[in-house]
Amino acid sequence: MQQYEGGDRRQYEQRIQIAEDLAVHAALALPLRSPDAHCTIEAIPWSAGLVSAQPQTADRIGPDLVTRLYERAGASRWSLAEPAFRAALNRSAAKALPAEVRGSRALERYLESLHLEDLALACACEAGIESAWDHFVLEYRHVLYRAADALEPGGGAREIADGIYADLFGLQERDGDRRSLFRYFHGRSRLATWLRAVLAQRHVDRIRSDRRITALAADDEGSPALVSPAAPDPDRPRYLALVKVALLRAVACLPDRDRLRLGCYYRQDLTLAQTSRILGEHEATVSRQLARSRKQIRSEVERYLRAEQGFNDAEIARCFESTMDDPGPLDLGQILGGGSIRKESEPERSR
Amino acid sequence: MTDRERDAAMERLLRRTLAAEDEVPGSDCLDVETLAAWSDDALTVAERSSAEAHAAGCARCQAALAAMVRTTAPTADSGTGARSLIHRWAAWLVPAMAAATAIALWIAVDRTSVVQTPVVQAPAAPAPAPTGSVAREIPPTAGPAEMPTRSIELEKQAADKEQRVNRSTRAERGREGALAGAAADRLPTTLADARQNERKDEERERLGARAANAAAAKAAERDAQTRPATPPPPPVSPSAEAPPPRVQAEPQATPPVQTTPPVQQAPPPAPQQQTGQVAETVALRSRQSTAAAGRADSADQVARRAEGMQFATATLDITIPGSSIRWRVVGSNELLRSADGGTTWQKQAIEIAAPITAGAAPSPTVCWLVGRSGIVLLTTDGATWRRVAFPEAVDLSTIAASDARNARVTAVDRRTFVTTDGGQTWTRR
Repeated sequence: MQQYEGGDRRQYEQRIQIAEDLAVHAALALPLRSPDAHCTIEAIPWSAGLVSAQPQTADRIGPDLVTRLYERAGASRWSLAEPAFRAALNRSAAKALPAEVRGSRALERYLESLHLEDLALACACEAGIESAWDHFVLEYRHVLYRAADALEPGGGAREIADGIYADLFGLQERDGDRRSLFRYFHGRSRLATWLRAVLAQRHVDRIRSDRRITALAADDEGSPALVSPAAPDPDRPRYLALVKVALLRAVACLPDRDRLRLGCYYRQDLTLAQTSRILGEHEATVSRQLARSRKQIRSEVERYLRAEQGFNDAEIARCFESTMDDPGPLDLGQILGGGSIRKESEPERSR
Repeated sequence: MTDRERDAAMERLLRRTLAAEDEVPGSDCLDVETLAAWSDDALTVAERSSAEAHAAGCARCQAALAAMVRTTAPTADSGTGARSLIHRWAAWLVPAMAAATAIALWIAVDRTSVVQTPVVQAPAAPAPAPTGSVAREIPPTAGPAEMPTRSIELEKQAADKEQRVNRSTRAERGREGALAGAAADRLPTTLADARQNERKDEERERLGARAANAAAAKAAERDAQTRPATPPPPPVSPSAEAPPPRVQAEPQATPPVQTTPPVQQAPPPAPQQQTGQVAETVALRSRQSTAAAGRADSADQVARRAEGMQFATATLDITIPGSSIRWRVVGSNELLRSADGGTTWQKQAIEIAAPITAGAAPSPTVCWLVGRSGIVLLTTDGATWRRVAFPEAVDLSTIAASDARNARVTAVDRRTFVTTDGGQTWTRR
């Protein structure tokens, strides 16, 4: 790695830390959310290149506040050094609050809203304090495994949980320092929730990378055959494609919250209860809003077919009837002879 | 095409179309901290709005949110604001009323009624299961020497703790998970179904709480009594005048017990009469495992048993709205039929090869039963049963039927199969 030229060593170490953070983010498939991350990377991987950055983790927290938070967190239980805890608080504040917020009431409110005990435990584990690690294993190991079993009852997600466990311990070393995943816990949520989020995102990324197109199983001999639907109307594929195009247009025009609700319920196959937890609504509200969105989409679809395709009521009815049967893979572009409204669908994609 | 059919078609199309559309995730996907803060309701209003705006169009982030919520128990203290004031209020009121009702029944009622099991669910959907590999060691990516030296001991301690946690909370999680699992199982094809499912969940939760408290009251009383241990009673005899479906009585307690109509834990959904097509009657699976296997009660104690007491076997009730005909599947291989609303039962001559999970009886003489491994049974005269061939040996979770020819079966993987010829052929929908 190129040596930092000029400036004090503290700034140099901060910039190295930023490079490490970014590299670990990339390795863990954790894209940075905020585009204004106050840094640019001139070269990746992190072992080479110079990172030009603004100081990120300057100490913005008063010592009295740190002491008060340290006591509230019970960090002395783990014999965690106060400077280490302060550094964690600074990292958390730096990530959540703009740099100009310094010593203000907003900063204090933010820090007091953190899950301080969990943050202290994470710090202590990152620092390699054995008692903290013992406590973490006893209290949180089952959290990870239960979450993994909930995602894949067959135990397929446990491998991911094991990988997280190892990353938390920090089996990778750099210049004699262990790099622990605990460094990226900032206390905004509970530690258990954060662990589940890490697991969930890795699980999703693994599924997406392993996704394959599966065809519907063929008929088996010796068992009642699946009867194919009757020979479709030659216009059916076109009707179906038009309805889908209209539907996608209608969905795209909905407010974000409605689209999220639809996505959770229809795309992710969540129940009303699960969808309500994501959106922070009552189940009845979710149900009612889904019905409203569906009605709105249907009206828009009918309007599109009537106004833009020139269909009459009978043809519109035939369009809806065409959706009753499973058409299998459908290339909207080929059928419609033009680009789709949204991004091009991959050919022969089926659910 | 009726308005309702068009709604159903739109819903089906929504599900297929949105599932097939998978946008390429952007560069500003939600990070882990944001996902976790969202789940714990720790985002600011602006952050939440921004996150929702992104997640609304990002399949990856939606999948991550979905995975997060699937790892959360329905009533876990996730810090979300989804529970309304009514739910919080009901959380303590329902169990309190259930306990008071159970105690009042126990004191005031002196009857030899057949008890009914409270409905819980047909847990066909995967639910968070206790680990079966508790002793599994975490494989270190580096050499074992780099792991903490006490790792194996800690693993054992953690495993023991996990087992204790699992045992102590299994009943509660089962009830919670039953609601989620049952909801996940029943993929409503229409929002009307979804609302019915919600009502069923609420009813199930109330009755489950009542059952749990009644069971606790019974257990406390039994602890103060001494009973001789007797073997469990023989199964119900077809010749019995009023054979109760579940009896834990001493063998010498010969007088037939008077039964009362079984309590319906959850009323079957009302038939959708508008179209005349919709099949009806998704029966609910009830299960209560006895914690006192081997201990027998006197006939009086059996008679006083209130709703939600212990049972030795699982039961499945299939009823017909407006009719006194009903069927009951007891355990995994016994089928009973009642013509008088459950007062008396007659055993049906049928060999059940796999556990039955659901049933539908569109008329007094027609009844469909489905279960694991693709088992489908049908009677068209109320007495003789035949097994209907099914294309796949997949566990079936629900069935809806309008008559002896038309039925719709849903598998645990949410695939739906429809027959219009009494099961001779099946079409996947």
